Amino acid sequence: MTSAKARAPVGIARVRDGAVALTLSLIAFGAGWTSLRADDDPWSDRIDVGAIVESRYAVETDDGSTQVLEGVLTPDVRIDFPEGFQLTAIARLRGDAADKLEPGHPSQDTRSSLSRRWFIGDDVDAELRELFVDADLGPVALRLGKQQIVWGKADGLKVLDRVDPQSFREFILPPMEDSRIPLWSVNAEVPVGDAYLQLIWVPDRTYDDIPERDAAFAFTSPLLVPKPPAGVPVTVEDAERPDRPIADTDAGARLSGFFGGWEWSVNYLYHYADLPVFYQERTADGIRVRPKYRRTHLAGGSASTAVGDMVIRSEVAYQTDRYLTVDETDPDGVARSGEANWVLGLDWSGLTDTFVSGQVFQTVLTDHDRAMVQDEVETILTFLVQRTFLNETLTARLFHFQGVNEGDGLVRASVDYALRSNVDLSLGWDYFFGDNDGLFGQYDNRDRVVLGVRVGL
Amino acid sequence: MTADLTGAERVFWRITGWPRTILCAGLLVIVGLGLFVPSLTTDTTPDAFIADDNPAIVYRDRVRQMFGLEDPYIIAVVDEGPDGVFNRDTLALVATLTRAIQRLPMIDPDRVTSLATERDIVGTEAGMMVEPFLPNEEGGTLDPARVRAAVADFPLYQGTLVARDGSATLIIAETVAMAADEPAYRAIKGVVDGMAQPEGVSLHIAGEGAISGYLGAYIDADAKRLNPLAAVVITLVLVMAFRSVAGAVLPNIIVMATLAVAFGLMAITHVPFYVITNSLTAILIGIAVADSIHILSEYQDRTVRHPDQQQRLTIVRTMAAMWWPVTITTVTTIAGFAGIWLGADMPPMEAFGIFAAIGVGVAWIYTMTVLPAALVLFGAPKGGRRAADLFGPAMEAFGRFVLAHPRAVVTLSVLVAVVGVIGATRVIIEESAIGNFQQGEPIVIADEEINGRFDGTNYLDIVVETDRAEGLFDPERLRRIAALQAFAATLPGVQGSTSIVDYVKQMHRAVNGHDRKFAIVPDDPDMIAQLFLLYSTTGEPTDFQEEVDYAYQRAHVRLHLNTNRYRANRAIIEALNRYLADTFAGSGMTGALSGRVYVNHHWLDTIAGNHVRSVVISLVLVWLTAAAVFRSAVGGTLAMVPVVFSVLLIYGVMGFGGIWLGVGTSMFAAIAIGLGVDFAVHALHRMQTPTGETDDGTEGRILAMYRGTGRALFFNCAAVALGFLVLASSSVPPLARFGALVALAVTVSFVAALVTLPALVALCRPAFLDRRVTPLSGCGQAPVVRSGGGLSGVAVLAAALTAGAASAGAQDPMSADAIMARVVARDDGRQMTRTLHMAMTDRQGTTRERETVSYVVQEDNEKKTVIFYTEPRNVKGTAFLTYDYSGAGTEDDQWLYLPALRKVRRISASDRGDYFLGTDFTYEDIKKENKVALEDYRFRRFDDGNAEVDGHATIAIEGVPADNATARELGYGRAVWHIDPAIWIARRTEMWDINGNPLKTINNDDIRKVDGIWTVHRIEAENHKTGHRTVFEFSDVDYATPVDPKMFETRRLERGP
Repeated sequence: MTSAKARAPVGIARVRDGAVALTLSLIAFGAGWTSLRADDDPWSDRIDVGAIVESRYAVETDDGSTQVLEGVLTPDVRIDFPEGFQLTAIARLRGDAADKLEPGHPSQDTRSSLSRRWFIGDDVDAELRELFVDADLGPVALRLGKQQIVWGKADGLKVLDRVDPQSFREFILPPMEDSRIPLWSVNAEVPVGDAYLQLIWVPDRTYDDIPERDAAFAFTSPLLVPKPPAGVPVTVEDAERPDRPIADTDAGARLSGFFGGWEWSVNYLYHYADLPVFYQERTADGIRVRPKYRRTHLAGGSASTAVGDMVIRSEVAYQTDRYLTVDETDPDGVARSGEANWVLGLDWSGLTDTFVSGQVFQTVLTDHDRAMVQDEVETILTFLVQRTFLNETLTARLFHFQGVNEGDGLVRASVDYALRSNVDLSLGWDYFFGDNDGLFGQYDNRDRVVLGVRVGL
Repeated sequence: MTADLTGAERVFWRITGWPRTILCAGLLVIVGLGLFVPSLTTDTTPDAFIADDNPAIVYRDRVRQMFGLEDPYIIAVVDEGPDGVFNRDTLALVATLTRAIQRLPMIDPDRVTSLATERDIVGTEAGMMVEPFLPNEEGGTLDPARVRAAVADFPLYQGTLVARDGSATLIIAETVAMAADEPAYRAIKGVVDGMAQPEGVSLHIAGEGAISGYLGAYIDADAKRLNPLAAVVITLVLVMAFRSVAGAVLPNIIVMATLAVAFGLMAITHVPFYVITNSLTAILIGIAVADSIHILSEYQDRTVRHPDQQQRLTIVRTMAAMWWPVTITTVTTIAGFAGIWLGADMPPMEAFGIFAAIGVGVAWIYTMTVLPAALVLFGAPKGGRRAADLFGPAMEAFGRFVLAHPRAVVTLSVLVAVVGVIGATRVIIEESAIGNFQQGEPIVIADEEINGRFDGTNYLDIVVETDRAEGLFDPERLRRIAALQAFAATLPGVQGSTSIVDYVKQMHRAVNGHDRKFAIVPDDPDMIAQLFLLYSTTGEPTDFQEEVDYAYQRAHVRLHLNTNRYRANRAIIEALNRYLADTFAGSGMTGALSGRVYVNHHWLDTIAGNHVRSVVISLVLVWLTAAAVFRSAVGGTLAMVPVVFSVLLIYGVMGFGGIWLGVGTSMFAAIAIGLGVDFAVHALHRMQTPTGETDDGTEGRILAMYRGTGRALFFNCAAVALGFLVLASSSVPPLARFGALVALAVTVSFVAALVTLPALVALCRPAFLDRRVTPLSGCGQAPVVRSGGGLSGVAVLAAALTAGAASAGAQDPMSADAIMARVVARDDGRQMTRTLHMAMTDRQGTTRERETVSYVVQEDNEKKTVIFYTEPRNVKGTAFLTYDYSGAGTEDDQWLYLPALRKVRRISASDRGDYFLGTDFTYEDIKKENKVALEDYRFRRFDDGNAEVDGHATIAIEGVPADNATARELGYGRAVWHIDPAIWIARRTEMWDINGNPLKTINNDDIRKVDGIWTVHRIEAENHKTGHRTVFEFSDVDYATPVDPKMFETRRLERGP
């Protein structure tokens, strides 16, 4: 694919740069303040500054090449104002010497101008991750600003967790907190009887970061991007981004509560799906792909309860308008269908120091068409076993994703050790297997061993 | 006003805010679906009981196609005169009847068999000739004596077409394909009734076709009678219960809805109305009314208690209080019917199960919406001074009696159950189609006559297939068939048989001058072929259609059995199958059974399996529901006791009373389970509810249950049982038995729920009764456990008192129990905020440090704790929240927030003995905070020589866990606390594991008063087995500042302290 790189209008770029600069200065200010001020100054209690420094080295097991060699600094500051509100700011500075995850200077056209990263050369990027204010206005808890809004209870795969987009630069391997893209949003939570009603409005028109064609974790599975027939030239246009400031914003509501030992929620979201729909136009000189973002309603709910040593979790989400790639018979390569996703998870901690969890995910297309690439029912099973040793300083973990339809999957094994209070070492192995057309199998040759160090300051 | 309502009340407030709309919508649904009801089709054929894809049916249909067989109508002409039927008038009657029947539009004229249609095989010089027994319509003289002689010479027809003693003859008619049985039956009956019968001659109609037609008429008659009767009976019950028009009318609206929706859907989905569907009406009426009885009853009680309360509020409060038990009972009843649906593979039973479940579901919906709406619009029957007040005190007196002798009651119940089990072993599975009719019915008489005079109208067919066309010309093969017939004749119950061999023998005789010794199979295959050829010159080509196929490859042997009783015929079928397997193997021939008797056998064979399956599924589903509702396996099991009891008793009645387990009766168990469990659920639910009075013992609550719910349960039982008893007046005997059995089962369940169950509860005092997981009316809090705290408080006091009294010197304030009681009673404030610094050092000396901020609030029966990790950065943001319920047996609710996931994770309540987040303290240690749960240990004073710790005088108390289970849970086999009596805190605690090895030592240091409360500021635990040490240092401890309750919400975990 070729892609054009968009430039943000100058004014907005200035605002964005300003926000990043503000954050970094707040952090510097806070750090300076706390170090210089006397201990009995009330403000020193109110400002909390810190950072995490991480380094990772990942080697591909197929050929021994370096996949990732990165260092990340994540400073954060939290200020408690006497008027009763808190300001939180988190930034990230990341450098990857291997530069395989996002080779060169990736385009940022999936990001709204206020959410873009700031590139320093090809290998280093800085990002304002979160910047928000928490305030209580009477019974209403308000959080305004760039934040992560997380719905749902599933591990590893997303059912209800669709409010914020995600960066797929390393597929689903990094922790969700790092791959999720926080958005500028208004998030208000209102008590309604014994339950809570959360109302969200997300004016930030940012969507999933999809890796470029030459990236290590580029999408090649036909389930994600259309697969052109061999030998046919393909041109990819820029994605058509929704740009109406009000009409193209996302909004949603969630009602949740705790009743009779059950945690439940009912969710609704009206949003643009974060992955674009790849409309295809067949012309005389090949296929032209026009990615376009489409709206959908999402309605669903979740319920979970604990019974003895077991926790049962479930989540259901129905999206009214999903656009699936179909094979050549369809004029625009895309057909619409409703899609229901659900997950049922069982967590068991009956054995000491051990945690076992199994989940069944299913995606059901309600208006399935034989021509669609995706099967009418797609099932993924996951299985997690975790055990801690030595007073929880050593944790061994095995997480297995198994796609049932294509028979592909992912196995993640890892060992974490708390060397010191603030130093964690980790060693992990990620192994993909299965059909190259599968969601996991597409990365069959990206198996890797990862070594990591994490220090909290 | 609305701010004072709980969640449930608010919902009902909203519902009662739109009464007209809801009522209109409800009525629209009734009318809308009710319009479809007249288009219901009926299916009374016996084949309806078998799924279309059942192999026996499939094969039978193939056989039918091969040989053109259908279920016959059999008209018997019986002449008691000296000549039997061989006289002019009677034979003329046979002829006339035959032609009349042949002319009926739905009768296939070629498939009418009688003396008037059959032909004799007569030998002539040319070989043989085929001529009719009776002359045709035009001309020909009728010579009865010749007919008699001809028949006597044709063994094939003896016992089958003509009685062996000549006293009766049959006309056998088959309908055209796809003709309905009931109209055919009525038409034939019309013809028969219109015939002038000579003196001494009687006509009877029987046969499979007749049975099924007759059943259709039964169903109609039943429907016209039973359903209005059920409605009237139930309305009477309602009037007695509520003494008001509203009380009688409102539940009937629900009934109408239930019936309209269930039958309307049945019509829409083209599911036919089967014989057993007839019982659905009476059942649904009884069930639909039950819920509204409970609700109206409660409403009346409330109007008595709060006479001045606004009516709408009372209605709302009633619904809010009753919606949960009503829902549970609906779900369990649906579970019972679901058991039938899932366990049976007979379409009528499946249909029964699923439409009954739908009906019950609809009743629930209407009870939740239309009932309160109607109550608001039309007013509700107010409670007040009424004779029914007798019920309350009467029930309570009964309750006291039961509670006074719980052991006797339980023993008696067990004895009765044992009797039931013995009876159950004597239950026999038996079914007979004719058993569906009452003794005096014409069809029963006809059946008896025919099966008495003839070989039998119950057909068992054997299809013999040879390996090639014209294989039946082989004499060897024919002889094998003859041998098969001979063997079959030896089986008891087989009165005769017919096959192509009989015709061959007759033909052979005919061409040999009717010499008897030629009544055998010829040796020459060519001869056989010639016989058939000869026959065809004067006979009809279709004459042998029923006996052999056109290619002479397959033969149909028909056995005549004189009974359709399942058990009798099972023996025959098994013997035949063995014979066929033994003798036909390797002969180039195969034999397979088919026919009505075989098909009936086949599906009746599965009755036992179906029954057991549906009972087991019902039991499991209902148990699961009850256990889920009470959140306790014990609760689920207790709820099942009355039901299991009643089912056993019914098996006993069936076993000792000789009532068969057949199609009609086999459904009783699943239904009885689904209905019977309602009583136990209501009773247990009521026992869970505290009465609001302070002295709430188990007994108090049981008595309150008798007073309050007992009355409603009685009328509930009355309505349901009477509904089924109405069914007991059905014309169809199996349905009548079914109705009686279920009525009995439901009544027994009710009695057991009010006698055995409370006695068991009084004896066992199960823990789950202290836990209340449903919303309370009147308070707007999150679910809170009530009375559990009271109970354990009472237990503590009792333990302390008894322990105190037991120790020598009665009132020694320094006894072990007294000391531990004072430790536990130590004040630790209603709320607390503090910072904690943890240092964990392993054997090698590496220390890992953590810092947390925690908040604790102690509410009446709940202690909420939230811990936020603040240092180091790696774990910052992690938070842990617990709701600790003081009721024994109620599990804590716990959550863990992990910043990496940005998600709150629900975790299962940890075992008390598990170590807390990597420290050397267990969850129990952390929760108890230098205290213990007194009921876990047996204490004694202990003098180990260490009378002081760190310069403070201490008393040593040793504790041993109360039992092995507790020891394993806690992880300790023994513990010693060194209590400082000045502050009532243990300065040092030593623990040993369950094997007696030293496990750990905990030291409490830096104990100072903060806000008037003694506080430990440093706790050090050393694990002797792993060499690991944990030090907790507390600072900024604050008991005075109130803690924002929002801090203990799960949503707060992400935000931080």
